[in-house]
Amino acid sequence: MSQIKYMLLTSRQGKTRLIRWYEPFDAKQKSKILREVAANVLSRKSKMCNILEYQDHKVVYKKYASLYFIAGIDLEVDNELLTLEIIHRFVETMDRYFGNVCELDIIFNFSKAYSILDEMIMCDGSIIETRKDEVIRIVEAMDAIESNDDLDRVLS
Amino acid sequence: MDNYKVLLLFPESLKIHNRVAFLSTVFQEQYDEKESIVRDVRWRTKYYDIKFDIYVDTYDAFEEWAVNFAADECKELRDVLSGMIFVFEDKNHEPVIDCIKGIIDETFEDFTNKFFIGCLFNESTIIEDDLYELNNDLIIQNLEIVNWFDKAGPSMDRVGSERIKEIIDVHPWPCNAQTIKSSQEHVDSKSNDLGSFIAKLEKAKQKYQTINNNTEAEEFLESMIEELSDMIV
Amino acid sequence: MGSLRNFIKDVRASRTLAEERAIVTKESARIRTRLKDDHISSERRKKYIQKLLYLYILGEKTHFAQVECINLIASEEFPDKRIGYLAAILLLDENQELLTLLTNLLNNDLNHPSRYVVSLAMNALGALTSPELARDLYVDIKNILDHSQDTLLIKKALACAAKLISRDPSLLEIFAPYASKILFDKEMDNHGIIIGTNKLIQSILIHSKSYEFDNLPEIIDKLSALIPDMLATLQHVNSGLSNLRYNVEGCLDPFLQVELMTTLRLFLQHFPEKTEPYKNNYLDTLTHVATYTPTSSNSCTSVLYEAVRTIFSFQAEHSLRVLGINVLGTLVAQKDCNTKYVSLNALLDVVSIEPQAVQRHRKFISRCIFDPDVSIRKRALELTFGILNPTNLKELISEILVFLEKAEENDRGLILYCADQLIMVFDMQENIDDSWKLDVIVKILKSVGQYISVEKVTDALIMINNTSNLDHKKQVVSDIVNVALEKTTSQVLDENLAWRIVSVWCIGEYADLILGDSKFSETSLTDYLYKSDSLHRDNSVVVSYVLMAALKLSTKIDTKTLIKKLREIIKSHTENTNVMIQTKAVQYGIIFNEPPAVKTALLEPMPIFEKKIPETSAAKTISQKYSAPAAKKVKKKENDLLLDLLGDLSLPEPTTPSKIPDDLLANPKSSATLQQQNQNILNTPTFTRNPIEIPPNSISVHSSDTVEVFGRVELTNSDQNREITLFLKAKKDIKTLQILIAVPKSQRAEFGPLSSHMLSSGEVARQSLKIYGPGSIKLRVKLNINSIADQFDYKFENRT
Repeated sequence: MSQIKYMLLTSRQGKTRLIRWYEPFDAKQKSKILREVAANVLSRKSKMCNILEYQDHKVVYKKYASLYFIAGIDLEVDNELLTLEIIHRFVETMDRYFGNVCELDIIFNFSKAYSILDEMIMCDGSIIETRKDEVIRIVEAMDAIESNDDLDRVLS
Repeated sequence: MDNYKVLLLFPESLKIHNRVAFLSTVFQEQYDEKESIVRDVRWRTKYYDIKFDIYVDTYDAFEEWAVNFAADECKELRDVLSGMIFVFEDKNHEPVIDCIKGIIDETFEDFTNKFFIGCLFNESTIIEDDLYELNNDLIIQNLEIVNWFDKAGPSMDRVGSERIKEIIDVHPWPCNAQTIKSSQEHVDSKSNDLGSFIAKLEKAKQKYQTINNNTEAEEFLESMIEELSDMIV
Repeated sequence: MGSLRNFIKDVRASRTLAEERAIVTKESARIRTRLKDDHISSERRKKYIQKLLYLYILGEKTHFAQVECINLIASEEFPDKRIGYLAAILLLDENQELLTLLTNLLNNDLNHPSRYVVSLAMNALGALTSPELARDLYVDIKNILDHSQDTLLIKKALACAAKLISRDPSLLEIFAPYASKILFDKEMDNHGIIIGTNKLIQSILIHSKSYEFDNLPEIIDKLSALIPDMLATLQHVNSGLSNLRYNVEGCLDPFLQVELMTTLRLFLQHFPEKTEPYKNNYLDTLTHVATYTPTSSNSCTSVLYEAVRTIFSFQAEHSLRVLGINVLGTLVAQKDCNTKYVSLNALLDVVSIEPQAVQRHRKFISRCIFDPDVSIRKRALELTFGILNPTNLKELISEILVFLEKAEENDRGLILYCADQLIMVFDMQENIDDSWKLDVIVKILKSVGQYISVEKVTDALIMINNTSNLDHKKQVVSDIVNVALEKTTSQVLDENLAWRIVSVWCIGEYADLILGDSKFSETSLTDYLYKSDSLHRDNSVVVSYVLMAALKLSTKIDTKTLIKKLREIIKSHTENTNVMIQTKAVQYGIIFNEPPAVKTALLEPMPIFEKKIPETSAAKTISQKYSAPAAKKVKKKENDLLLDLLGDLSLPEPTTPSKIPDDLLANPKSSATLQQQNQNILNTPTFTRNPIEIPPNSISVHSSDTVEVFGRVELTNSDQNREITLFLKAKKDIKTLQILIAVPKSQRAEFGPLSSHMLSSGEVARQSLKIYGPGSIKLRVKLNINSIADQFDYKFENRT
């Protein structure tokens, strides 16, 4: 069962590139988590495992190029190894969508990154679609409606 | 608007061909020993296209240079810089790095929107893992140490000159905060072929001519340019 | 300065960027102003929101845009809606009143002709549902489930239904029928649909507790009828027979497999009686998954790991559990550190139930003790202590000793843990020979003594003291003192205080044993005490030991000048600012001047010292047969050598000249001030209480800001009479602590006293209880901490 509490993308330089909360944390908790979890993850050595305990939950992370993908998960319910797969799936899907995704893509197209994430994970951090091509199909279809809509509006 | 400014600092001891290599690899620019300012360096990415001037300086003793740079009269310069790249050869890198940290912490009023890169130009290198740990302590200063001679390993990490480029790429250039693309900027615009593009352009022209109100026409023009240019990215 | 001047000139000549920077830093303020303009086009509005979301990621304040997202959602244009819904998901949460504004819009969009608009609306509903929204909009979700043929919408509607139930459990009646309807009707090829159905069933099972109507049994009956299908689907997918497009590195849709197992597990947890008819299917399928899933990639191991977790949720199925443990054994042996981490964790959960099965994998567990990752080392060590038994004891402890020798500063926590555990194990293992135990302890002190707390040193002293084999004792003492005296080969670091204390103590207690040996002279021993005193004058613990050793040594040597030197050590502390040291120095000074016969009588060798074994530390992991029965021998207040010594002082000579203030020792009430001081002497913080240890195999049952509660079921012979111990570990200082515990009506409980009603941060209180009556052990615990109530329920797994 996946019940992700938050998904966070942080750059090697400690800059947040994407944040998505699936549990209603209050503002104070959010800024604490952003600060502490990112710092914790960034200070891990490369030989260490990708799972750590933080406060009342676990944090699973994986580094891809210059970005750390970080997920907060439930201590009991979530399967840490599967969470790594979910992260990997998200990265692969973005990679296919953007064509060799890099940090810059996510900075400038964060709304697309969110769109992909939202087709994969819904509600309280539950995975709902596990196929890359299905996710991309939906996101691209929405992109197409959008660009047609925009042009039509400009020209109307 | 004038160009952004980036300061590049070489040690006097760094061989000319190495300086040439640095400028051409990172910026695709020539190096001319006599000219301390390289103008109109074009920086193009998938998402933006900007220009900056590179101020190239050299130092004999880094501490001494740092003292000069910290002087009051350099404040204007410091305020305007978008970023600094320090190249150094020292085998013992710690004092240099401490000195760079000092410059950032003590002489800049606000360094949060600037990038700082320390480029270690020295083949007897620190290993990647150590570099990583070292950099973790420098995040606060927006400083990253890059090893020029690092070879890309199995991790997807960019290293050496590629990493320097990446840091410049993701720097929040002030113009970008305003031009951050809205969601209709889509990666895949295959669906819009040239024919339909021209047809729509034609229609747009006609519509533009029917607008009487000047401001309204301006606004229409602006949005149209943006939408249409999105189609041809 | 040449070039820098150039640059400054250049900067002055150009238009500075400072202006532009100022704009950027004020970007969000600018947008805020612009958005207030009612006349801006929706195009602009959309762009501002887009920028604002960018600033949101950068951590800027953006709450003022909340109303704007609603405006965008209200637009008829798809691009507006898309960005509006994204903004709503990011900027709003279910606690905001603004949500009422959203209800109508969602209601419209859930019925929109465009599937993508419906899909976006469901994303927002899934993210933001409040109980009110759930009640207002469930009809729309039901509508989609009834009429839509679109798999995109159906899978999202199922996920939404699960979420709505979590906000209003009474809705489970409405949505339950769709679980069976859809699972049977739709093509099994689409895994999204199956996952959605699983989400729905999971939500129903989890929230059934809060469902208040009496048709629950029928609902659950219908759902449980799906169990065989789910088991079949699991086996089908696991065998790679489903849609191959879901393949992930040699594993067919691990996401779906894990969801299926979660659902099956939830049935076991919430309605075990419903799974009874399918027990064999369960066993077969789980055995299949555990046996045939390879370990070749992370996606495969994630499935294996989930299978094991499901197996462990099965109660009282020994053979299956052993299979699960063997799977974990294979996983521990893998290279991947994440796999190692999770499997060690899982093994820790079961080690108290199946120590035998776990200890078969000790080779790979031991290997993890040396892993580069400290969190893996920690778990491997915990597990190693969990599987210790009389047969593997020496083998495993020698591994731990290797670890300690290699350990570094940042392993401090682990070193302390090992020392604590070893001493506890030794206390309980009476059958192992003392000489070996003592050797181990001495080795530990030697390699990591600088990290070890003074309390643990006292334990070592007790062990030396209690060794009955006189030859070995002499050997050990001689070795300890020899290493300490040796100047050239610095085998022991100066900061190794534990070693310092032990050697000082040995000199005081056993100088007479070793002085026959040519390695030692009266001078070298005296000098060592003198040196220790001058090196550690600030450390009251070391000084206390030096004082006592000086006093004792003075009765064991003959050289007058050296005796004088010892007296000087003591004398030099009579003005010590530390009142405890001062009092001691004065007392010892008085004793020092007594005639030799009196002195010798006073300073008799220490008796065999009996140490109280904490009741609960009679851990059964160490093999039940061997564990010392709890509270077997508690003669004295334990663990305080100084107390013991002083306590003896008054006994031999009750008529000792009145200079020895015997009321200090015998009659506390007669002098309040002195008694106060006496307390101080005896109660150095490090010596006071015997801290309660939480046995390594206790399960964490509850955790809050102030306290973490661990529990363990002690072994008992009959199912009708079981003993539970709860450990409450304070996370903050607790001034008042109360605990109330209730058990199901079918059972009766008998409670022991709570060991402490006041805890400092990190300390542990113990509560034991006996439960009479059949059935699994469910506790409802109510804590009252600093007058704040905190309640939780916990169910212990049944153990056989």
